[in-house]
Amino acid sequence: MRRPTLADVAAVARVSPKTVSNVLLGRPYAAEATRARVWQAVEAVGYRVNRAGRALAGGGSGRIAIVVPNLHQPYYAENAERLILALEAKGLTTTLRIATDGRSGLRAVRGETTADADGVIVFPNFHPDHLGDEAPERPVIQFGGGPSGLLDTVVMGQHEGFAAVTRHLLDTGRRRLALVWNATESGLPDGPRYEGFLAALAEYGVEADPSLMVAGSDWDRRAPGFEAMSGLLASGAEFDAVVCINDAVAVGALRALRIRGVRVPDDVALTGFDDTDEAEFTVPPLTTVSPEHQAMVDAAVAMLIERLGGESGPPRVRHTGAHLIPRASSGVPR
Amino acid sequence: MREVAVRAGVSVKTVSRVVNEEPHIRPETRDQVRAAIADLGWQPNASARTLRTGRTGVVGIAVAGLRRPLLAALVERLVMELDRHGLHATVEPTHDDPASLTAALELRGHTFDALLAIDAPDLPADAVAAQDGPVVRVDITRRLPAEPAVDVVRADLDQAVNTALRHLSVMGHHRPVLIGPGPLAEPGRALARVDPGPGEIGRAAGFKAAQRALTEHPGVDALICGTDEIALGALAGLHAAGVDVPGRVAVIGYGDLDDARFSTPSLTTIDPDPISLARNAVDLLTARLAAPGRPPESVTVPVTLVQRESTSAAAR
Repeated sequence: MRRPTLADVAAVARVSPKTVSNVLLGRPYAAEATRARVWQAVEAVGYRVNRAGRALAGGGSGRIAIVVPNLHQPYYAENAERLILALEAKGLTTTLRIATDGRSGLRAVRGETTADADGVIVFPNFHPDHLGDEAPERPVIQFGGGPSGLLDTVVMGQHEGFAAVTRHLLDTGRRRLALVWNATESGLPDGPRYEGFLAALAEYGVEADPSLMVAGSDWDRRAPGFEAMSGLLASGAEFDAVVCINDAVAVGALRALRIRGVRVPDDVALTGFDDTDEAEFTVPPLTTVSPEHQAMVDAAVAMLIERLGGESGPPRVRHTGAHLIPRASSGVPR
Repeated sequence: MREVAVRAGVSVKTVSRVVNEEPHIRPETRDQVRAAIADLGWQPNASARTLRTGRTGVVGIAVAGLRRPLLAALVERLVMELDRHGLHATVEPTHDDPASLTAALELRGHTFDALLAIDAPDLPADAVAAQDGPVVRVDITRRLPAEPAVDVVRADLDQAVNTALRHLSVMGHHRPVLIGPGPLAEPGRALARVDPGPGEIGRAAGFKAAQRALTEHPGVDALICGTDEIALGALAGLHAAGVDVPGRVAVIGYGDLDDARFSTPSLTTIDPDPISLARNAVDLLTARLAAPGRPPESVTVPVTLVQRESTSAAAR
C-alpha cells in the first residue's frame, strides 16, 4: 500500500500542503479551526511523519532538545533525566545540549544549535532581557527561572519553598540564621529564595543579620559551600542555623561544620533546597525543600505537547509548588 | 533557498555560502541574504547543510542515563573536550536499551558525524562497520570485550580492583566484603560479597547492603563498594547503625565523585580520570574522522587511588 503523503492530508483537510506543514511544525500561522481539521485529516489518512523528509523540509525531526548549563550540578542532571523519561513516555525522542554560558543558551533557544529538534526545553542561564523581543518560531519551554513574557515558562515554587524551610527553623527555636548563598554581582543575596527567607523572618519578627550572610567564590557546587562556611566559622560569628541556597552548597557547608567539630543538628541546624538524590544520604540526612520536580516536568511537557499540537496563544506561565522535607540535619536541639 | 536567492537578488550558491559562513563574501551581499532570510522566516537547517558539506560538526554521545553522577561527569568532560576541537555535542540517552543505542547509531551521517558510546555493550558489528561515521567506545564502569572494529578507550578496571585490595591490605584490613554492583565488586573473586536486589544501584542500595554485610559477615573490617554512590550510601548506613568508619570498618569506592570529598568521613576512592578518558576518546575520534581507513586503536587509561578518611583516620 502506498504510504500517505502530506499532499493526501492537505487534500482531505482542504488546505494547502504549506498549511499542513505549518500546523505539524506548530507554527502560529493557522486558525484554530484549520488546525483541528488538519489534525483530523492526519488521523484519517494515517499520515506518518517521514523523518528524513521533514528534516530536509526545515524541521520535524520528532526530537526535543533539552538544554542545560551543566551536568555537575545534580539539579540539572536529575531533571534532564526526568524530562527525557517523561518525553519518551509521550512517544517523543530527546537530545541533550550543554550550553555552558548565557550566549550558547540563547543560541539554543533561537535554534542555531538545535536546528535538528522540533521543540526545546531550556534551563535558562541567560538574562530574560537578552531574548530580544521576538518569540522563537519553534516551541520553546523555559524550565525554571523568571518568566520573560516570550516563552512558556514553568516557575518553580522558590519563594514559598524558602519561606517554608525558614519557618521550620524558626518554629524549632532557631533564631540566629546564617545564609550561605551563591556569589552574586552585588555581593548580596537576591532572588525569590532570598525574598522567601526575609518574608518568613519578618513573620516571626526576627531581623536578618547581614554579618551572617556569606557566599563562596563559585556557584552551585559543594566546594564554595565549604569555603563560605569555613570563612563564617573563622569570623567567630555566632549562629544556631545555616540556611543554604541549595543542596550542593549545603553538602559543602556540612563538611566544613563537621571537621571543625560543630555538631549538626545539636549545635547548628542545616538546610538545603532541591531535594537532590544525595540529600537523603548525607550524615546526618539533610533537611531540604522539594520543588516538586515531577510537577515541573509534567507542566513543561504538557505545555510543549500543546504547542506541538498547534496551540498558538500567548506565552503562558505555570507555577508549581514546593514543600519541606524535614530530616535529621534540622532536628530539635537536645 | 531559491526564494531567498530571488528575494536577495543573488544566486542560490551565494545563499549557500552565506549560510555556511564561507569566507570571501562581500559584507553588503551577506546583509542582503540575511535580510531575505529574516523576511521569509526561512531556516537553514543542519540536514541540508550536511548534504552539501558532508559534516555536521556535531558528535553524538550515547549514555545510559544522567542520574548516575559518574556518567554525567564523563559526559560533561567529553562535551568540553569536543568543544576544544570546535565540535558540538548532542547527548543521546539510551537507558541501556539496545534499541535506543541502535537508534543513536542510525543518527550518524545526518544528525551527527560520529558517536561516542559510553559503557555500551552489544554494539552491532554491522552498524559500527557501516560507512556512516566513526564510533568510539568509552568504557568507564564496565569491563567489556574488545571489539576489533571499534576504537576503544577504557579505564583500567583490573588495576582499580588490585589497587583497592592492596591499599586495604597495607592499611591492615584483611576481611573485606564486596558490595555490588560496580567495577570494584564484579563477581568472580573469592571474597565475601553482598548484592542489593536487581536494578538497585544507587545510594539507597549501598545503605541497606552495608547493614546486611555487618550481620551476614560479622568479622568484616572493610567494604569494597562497586561505585562511590554505593559507598556513600554505605557510609550513611554504617553511621545510622552506629558503626565507626574507619575504626571498625573501612570503606572504599570507585569514581571519585565530587561528593566523596565532602562526606564525613571523606571517601577513599579510585579515580578513573574522566579528563584523560575524554581527551583520549576525542583524540581517537578526530583522528578517525581525518583518516577513516586507519586501524582501530585501544587505549587503556590508568586509574589512581585517592586516599581519604574512610580507610585511614589519619588521612585528613
